[in-house]
Amino acid sequence: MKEQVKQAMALAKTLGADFADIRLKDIRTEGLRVEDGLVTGAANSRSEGYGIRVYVGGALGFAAGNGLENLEKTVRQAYDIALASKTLLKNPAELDEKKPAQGQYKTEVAIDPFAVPIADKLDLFANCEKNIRAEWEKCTFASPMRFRTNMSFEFRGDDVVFADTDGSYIEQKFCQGTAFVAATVISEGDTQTRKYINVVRGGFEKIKEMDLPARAVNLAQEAAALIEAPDCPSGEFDVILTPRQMFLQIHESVGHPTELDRVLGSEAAFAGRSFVSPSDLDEKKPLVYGSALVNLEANALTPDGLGTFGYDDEGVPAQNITLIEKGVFKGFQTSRAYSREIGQNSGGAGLSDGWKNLPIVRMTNINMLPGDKTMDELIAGIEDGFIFDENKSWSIDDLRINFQFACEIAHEIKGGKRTGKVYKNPIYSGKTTEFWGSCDGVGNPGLWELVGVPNCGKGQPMQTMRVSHGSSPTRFRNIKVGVQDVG
Amino acid sequence: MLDKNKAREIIQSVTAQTKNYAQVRVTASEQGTTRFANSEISQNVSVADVTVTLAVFDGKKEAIASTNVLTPEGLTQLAKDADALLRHVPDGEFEAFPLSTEPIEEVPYNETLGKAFGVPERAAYIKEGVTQLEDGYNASGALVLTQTAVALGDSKGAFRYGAYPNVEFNTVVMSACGNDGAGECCSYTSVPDVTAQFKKAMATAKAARNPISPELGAHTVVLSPLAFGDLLFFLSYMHNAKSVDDGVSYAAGKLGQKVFGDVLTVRDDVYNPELRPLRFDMEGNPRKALNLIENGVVKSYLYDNKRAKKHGVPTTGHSASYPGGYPANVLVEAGDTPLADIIASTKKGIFINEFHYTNFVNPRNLQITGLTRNGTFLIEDGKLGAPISTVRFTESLLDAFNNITAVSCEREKAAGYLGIGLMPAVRIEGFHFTSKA
Repeated sequence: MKEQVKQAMALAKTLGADFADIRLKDIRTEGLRVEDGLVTGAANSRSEGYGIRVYVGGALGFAAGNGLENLEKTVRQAYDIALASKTLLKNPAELDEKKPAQGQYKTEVAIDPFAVPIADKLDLFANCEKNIRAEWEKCTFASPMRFRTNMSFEFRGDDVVFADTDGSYIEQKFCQGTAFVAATVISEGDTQTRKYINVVRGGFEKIKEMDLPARAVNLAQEAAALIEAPDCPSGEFDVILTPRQMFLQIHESVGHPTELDRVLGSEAAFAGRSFVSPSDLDEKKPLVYGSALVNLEANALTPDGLGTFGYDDEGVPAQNITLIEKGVFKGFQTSRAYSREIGQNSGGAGLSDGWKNLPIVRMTNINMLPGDKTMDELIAGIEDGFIFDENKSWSIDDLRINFQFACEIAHEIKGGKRTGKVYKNPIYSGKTTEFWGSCDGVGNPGLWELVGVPNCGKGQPMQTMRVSHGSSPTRFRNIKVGVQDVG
Repeated sequence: MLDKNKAREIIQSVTAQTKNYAQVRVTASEQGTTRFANSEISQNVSVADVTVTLAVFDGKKEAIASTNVLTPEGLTQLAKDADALLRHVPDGEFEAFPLSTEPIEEVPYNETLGKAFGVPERAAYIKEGVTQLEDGYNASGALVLTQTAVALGDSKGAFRYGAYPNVEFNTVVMSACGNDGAGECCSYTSVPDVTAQFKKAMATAKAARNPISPELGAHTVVLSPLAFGDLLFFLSYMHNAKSVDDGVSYAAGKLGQKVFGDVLTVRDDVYNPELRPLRFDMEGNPRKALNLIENGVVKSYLYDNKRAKKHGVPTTGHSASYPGGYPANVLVEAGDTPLADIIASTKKGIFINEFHYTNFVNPRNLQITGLTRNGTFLIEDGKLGAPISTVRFTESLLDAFNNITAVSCEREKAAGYLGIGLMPAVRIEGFHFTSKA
């Protein structure tokens, strides 16, 4: 295959391309779905192919296909598309300088998830089911209830080869697993679910470490409590967000706005733009993004992260980029196609979600660095507020300023202590820099947790990317809770 | 494009390699996308793929495998993988539902769009649109041609085939001052007027200069067909019988009940000539045309084979690639008032051209949030007035769709997740804005 790939790159040059690269990806998945203890889905899949990117006079063409016998045809197609792009070209693209790379990378896997018997996987779910139902057996309700459980695994393996006309040739192998367990209680007029989902790089050992049966007990208890709990009060409150809500707060209000392609307008008509601009890199006029406790990085080297790799899909080595340091904006997520616009080299965030799509700027692992507070210390600093846990709804505006999130559960805090009372349907909203500016407490490294997001959508055609976000429980002051204006 | 004979050949090749009862789906897609940003072509891509999905059955056991490796070895491996998985899965709830052989009209492939929106033609359309922008404005967007073929077959010889193209276009025209306007169009049949959408976006962007901040609280709003469609699609997906069973849907227990205002009739109609011309669902069943909402009354849930069996009713033919039944040909019955007259008869309100990032807050009560973008204007004394800056709404559609006081006689095509819909503009009273951007 290596020789055929080299020939394809040589053909691109012969046709007249200034530069070309190729990503060959062979992707395997295995999925299992269980509902109320019954298997409702067992499936595996394989999808392989390649995407070829060609630049001619600064104009871009990209074509994707499969079967090595079609390589030459696809190179020619990409070249022809690049010529068509010249029809409307004002600023010819310039990729940043990059040394040809030769390398290999592999996700560390102790237990190959594809080799684990289906029966063993189903046993894990059976234990979860047993624990959930046992908890519900103990419950009494004021009105009749229905009970539902949903569980699933998905395992994915990617074999990736990258090559370019500069002589790069890189081989990488990735392996990831998704585990999902949900407990749902349904009344005549309401439905309340508590779920646990995480996606991590690694083998089946990572799934075992999640200890799903133990988590299931808590999910069942909280779902049962929520169905008869009151709605979360509206008003201004101090809140602590757990890592299972922080991940999306980071994703939407730091991750996306600091993607350089979005900042420069390439997503203006679809995913949206950003309130951050290249001029915000000016150290004399710094953009204050949050309080001094707010430190975030785009770290493609984070263990277990879905955005962890040896090289991105442009052959750029994995890096750790500081985005926000002590509350001040410091850097963008960049790829080769955009980094020159701000006079930098690529930060290694040029990624595509599979073989079919063009690399665009994507998050790697966007992590908030831990602070020094214990959970008790975070709670002790709140007179009247809540802990919000597990995301269930999200929305943010075109410029990534106004956001609104809903969580699954609110735990009440009064006088610096948890009262044990829970509320359902907590919603909070805010504006990005005001919100991060209100951060006054960050959990210590022992509370830090990495949460995988398997479904980040961006681009046309839509690309669904896998990213991770690490954080500790974090405290914010005077947050708008609820939607008071709704009658 | 995958033709019928090739599709049949693949299906026969796969079913011949397993002793189990087998159903095969072949989906082929060729898609060309020309994106533009800052008034130049920024991405120009083409992708072709054919995926073969094999489901094998043994009593109540079912296993699925798929591949896009169509070599003889690849298809042999596919059958081996499915059979191997089948040996290890326990019984599920249902035995196989045989593929339907009920006669279905096959809609001929429409060549028009493919010829009109090839790679050079897409670039030319965009260049023409960008050229007509006024100084100080730039455009971003995408023009996409997708050609799809779907074939189904089983080991007993049943066979279905359908193929269709569609075109989708969207643009946002912006100035450095931040004012913007948008245009969108889509079609399965006739060539959409891309140039007109550039003009619409340009005119809207010009009118959107110097926006004012709206008051929060309840407002009378007039939603464009695109904005209304954005909300309506959420409602239509909740008619999935599985969502009803899972306790997720607002429609649970409401069949036959009047839930919305009289003016709202929502239909899924595969026979509408402007909508997706695939007459069978992903289980081979004929797609039935039916009313989801009729004059405000919840009339139908949408079924696949499994949900229908569970409910003891015939399937409606709405199986997609996900469990349950989904609409792909949604339309809302038009009213009798031109949009211009709806605006003219609105004393005070807000016209919304487009929503952004709409999402359920709580599907059980149809509570949705989202933001305005690309052309929001005050309506004062029946005329469009000052532009409005971005504002967030949070609203239950159970309330909003009970407060529809006008439905336009014009309808526009709007793209949903599973297919294009046909939507009118509407006026809604008491629509809640909950925060400012």
